[in-house]
Amino acid sequence: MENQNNNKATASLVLGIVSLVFIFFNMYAFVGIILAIIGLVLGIQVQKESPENGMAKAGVVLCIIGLALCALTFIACVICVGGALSSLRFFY
Amino acid sequence: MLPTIVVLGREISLYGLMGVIGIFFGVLAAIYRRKIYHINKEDVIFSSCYAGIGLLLGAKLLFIITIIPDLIKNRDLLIANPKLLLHILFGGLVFYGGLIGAFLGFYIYSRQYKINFITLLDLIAPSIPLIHGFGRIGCFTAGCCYGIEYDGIFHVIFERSQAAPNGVALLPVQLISSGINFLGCIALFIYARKKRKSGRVIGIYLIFYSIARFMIEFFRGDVARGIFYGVSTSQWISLLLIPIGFWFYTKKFSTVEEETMN
Repeated sequence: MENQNNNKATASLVLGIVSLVFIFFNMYAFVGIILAIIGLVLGIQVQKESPENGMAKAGVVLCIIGLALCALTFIACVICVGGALSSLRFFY
Repeated sequence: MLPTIVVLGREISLYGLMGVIGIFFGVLAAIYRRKIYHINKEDVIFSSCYAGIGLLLGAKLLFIITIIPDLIKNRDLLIANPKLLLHILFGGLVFYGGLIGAFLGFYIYSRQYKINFITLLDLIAPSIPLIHGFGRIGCFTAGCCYGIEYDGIFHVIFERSQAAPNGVALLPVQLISSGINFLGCIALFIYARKKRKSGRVIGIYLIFYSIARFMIEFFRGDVARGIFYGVSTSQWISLLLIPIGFWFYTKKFSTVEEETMN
C-alpha cells in the first residue's frame, strides 16, 4: 500500500511539473490542464491516506499552480458565450 | 475595455486572471468559514480542487451544447477550416455549466471521502457569488456578455473588443451583474455567520441568483446565445434552479443539526 502511494505521489509530482511546461504552449495548454487534473486527483488520494507524504503535498501544490496557469493561458481573450459566437457569426 | 495585459512579455487574459483571483479569494473565504461546519482545511482545499475541475469541464460542456445549432449551420465552413472550429470550441464558458460542474465535483469528493455533501455546499455558498462577481469584472474587461444598447448615464463604449460591438453605447450589464453578486455575497456571509439548518444557505443562494439572473438576461445584448421559445438557456436553467433552491431550503436533511440560537 505504502509503495503504491509512493508511486502515485511520484506520478502526481511529475504530472505537476510537466503541466507547468505547457504554460508556454498557448492553445495546447489544455494538455497541461488534463495532466494537472490527473496529478491532482492522484496527489489528493495519497494525501488523504497519508497526510505526511511530502512528495504528494508538493505534487498537489504544483498541480494546482499548473492548473491555474494553464487555464489562464488556455482561456483566450474572448471567453464568454457571446464572444465566441459573435466570431462565428462573422461567417454567416 | 482591457482584454489583456502583458506580464513578463506574455499576454495574459484579464478575464482568466479575474477568474483565478476570484477562485483564490473564494477558497480563502471558505477556509475562514470552515470552523462553523467543523470541516478541516485540507478538505476545503481538496474539495475546491475537485469543484474547480468540475467548473472548468461543466462551463465548457454547456458552452458547446449552446452552440451546437450554430456549429451545424456552419459545418461546411468549419470542416474546411478546423482551426476556426478549435478557436470557437476553446473560446467560451457558461456560468451555469460551471456551477453544475462544481456541484458535481463537490458531490464526487464528498462521496469519495465520506464528507456531508450538503454541509460542503453550505460552506461554499457565499464564495460562489464572490467568485462570480470577479468573473463578471473579467467579462467587462473582455467586452463579452455585454448589455443592450443604451446611451443614458453610465453607458459604456467598447473600442477594441473582440466580442462587443465597438463604438456603440451599451449598458454595462457585466458590472451590474458583478455588483449584484457582491451584494449577494455580503448578504450570504451575514446570514451564514452562524450555523443554519443544512441546505438553507445554498438554497437561499440558488433562489437569489436564479431570480437575479432571470432578470439580468433581459438586459443582455449578446443575443447570439441559445434562445429557445423566446427564453435564453440561462433563463431556462434559472427557472429550473428556483424550485431546486426551495427544495434545499425546506428539506430536512438526515444530518440536520438544530439551528444555533444565540
